Formats: sequence, structure tokens, C-alpha cells
Amino acid sequence: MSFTTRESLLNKIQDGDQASWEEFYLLYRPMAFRHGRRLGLSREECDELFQQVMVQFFKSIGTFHYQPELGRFRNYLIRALRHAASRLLEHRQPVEMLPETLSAVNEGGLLNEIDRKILADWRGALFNQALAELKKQVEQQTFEAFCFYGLQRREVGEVADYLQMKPGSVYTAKSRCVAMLRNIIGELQKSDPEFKL
Amino acid sequence: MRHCTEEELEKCLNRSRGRFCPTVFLRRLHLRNCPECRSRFRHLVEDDRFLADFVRELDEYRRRLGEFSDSAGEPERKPGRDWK
Ligand SMILES: [Zn+2]
Repeated sequence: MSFTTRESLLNKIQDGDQASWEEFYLLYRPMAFRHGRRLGLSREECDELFQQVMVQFFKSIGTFHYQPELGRFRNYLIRALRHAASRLLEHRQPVEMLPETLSAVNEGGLLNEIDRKILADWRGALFNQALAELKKQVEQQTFEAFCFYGLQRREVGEVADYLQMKPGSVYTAKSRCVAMLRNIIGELQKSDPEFKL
Repeated sequence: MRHCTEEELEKCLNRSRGRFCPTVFLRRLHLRNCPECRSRFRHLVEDDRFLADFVRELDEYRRRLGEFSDSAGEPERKPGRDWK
């Protein structure tokens, strides 16, 4: 398939492709923000957190070899975020420190909970990406029929009228798009095999 | 009784429950006795569940992102004209 998997995205970044950097930025910045905010970082600190992780990743990019069977990129990112966040918290001015937040960071239980939330974000980002990809691959009318009928669950008659299609075509659009969406998600997940739907 | 059409199977999905529909009633009778249509119907039900999960998780994700939407730069990907 021609669309960008996480694996090929990383490879393109390594080749210095600017557009891939931007895609990477848009894909992972929200994740960094949510992670930082959960730990009690301010918005500015969250920006700082993401900058640090990007810089770190950029530095290691020459040596970073994407090997799904060894270290998954997702795990690398989670580790990097966690590490950078605790360093940011440690270097805060004492007056700004929230002791309960700091100790919570070191508690295994909360970290697991945080990892779970990062995974939910990961999955959300992947779904978002998959839907955008589907949109590129089908006719606009097919995609809209799928959104209205399949995702928004509107009445088939309403959708057929609005898009000037036969109800049968709306059904066909849905089943075709579901199959494609599953394929796309499957392809995207190949770069992260541990992550099953 | 003849096999179900694609449209009839779609009508048999949960979403039309709660309202009496003669087609659905007859088709559900047929589904009981026809393994072939039952298997087709099962695929539709699986698709339906998949889509329900997909939408739920995507909505939750987008809602969470909304918290930072004024912080600049989040991607806005709206699939359809009337999407939300
Ligand atoms: Zn049958």
C-alpha cells in the first residue's frame, strides 16, 4: 500500500523529508500534551516536553533503527515522554512543586494508568489517520455515505436522499469502506504488531 | 422462502429495532432457518460492532484533544460535510 505507515514515516524522517516531519509533529504532539498535562505540567512545560522529546529523537535519528521485533517505536516514545516529563518536574522551582504529583510519578500504579491512557491516545491517533487515509482512497460520495450511514448512523433513506444515491448504493459504500478501513488499520498496525484491535 | 437481499439484512441490524417492520419480522424468521443468510448477517453484525467501537474511541480521542485545541496546531480532520 502506498500510504504512510509509522514505519515508512520514520524511514522518511531519517531521509530528511520535511513533510514527514510535519506529519510526525501533528501525530504525536497531542500525545505529549496529554501526557504532560496529566502529570500536572503547564501548557508551556508541555511544549517544552514535546520539544525535548523531538530533539532527543532527532539526535538519535542517525542511529535509530526501527526494529519492530526489538523496541517498538511506541515504547520508545512512551519511555522518552516519561523520562523527559520527570526531568521537567525535577527541575521546577521548589515553590511550584506539587509533592503529591511528584510522588505519584514514581508510583508504578499511576505510571501504568498513564501508559494505558497514552495507548488510548495512540489508538485514537491511529484511527484518525486511518479515516483520513480512507477518505483519500475512495470517491467523495462513497466516503460521505460511509460517514453518514456507517459512522453517524443516520437513516439510510435520509442519507440516500441527501447524497442522491440509491439506498442499495449506500449499503454497498458502507460495506466496502468498512473492509478498506479494516485493511488500512491492519497496515498501520503492522509497524506496531503488539497493538491488536 | 428466498434468501435475504443485502438491504434486508441491513434492515435486520439492531438499529431498526423498536419499530415493527414486516420485512424485518419475515427476514428474522428466515434467518433462523438459513445458515447461509445467517452467516452473511453475522458479518454485518461484526462490521457494525467494529464501527461502533471505532466511532466511540475516535470520539473520545477527539474530545480529549479538544482540551488543547486552543493551544495551536492540532490537526483538524473532518471527514464529511456534516461531520459533528
Ligand atoms: Zn437465506
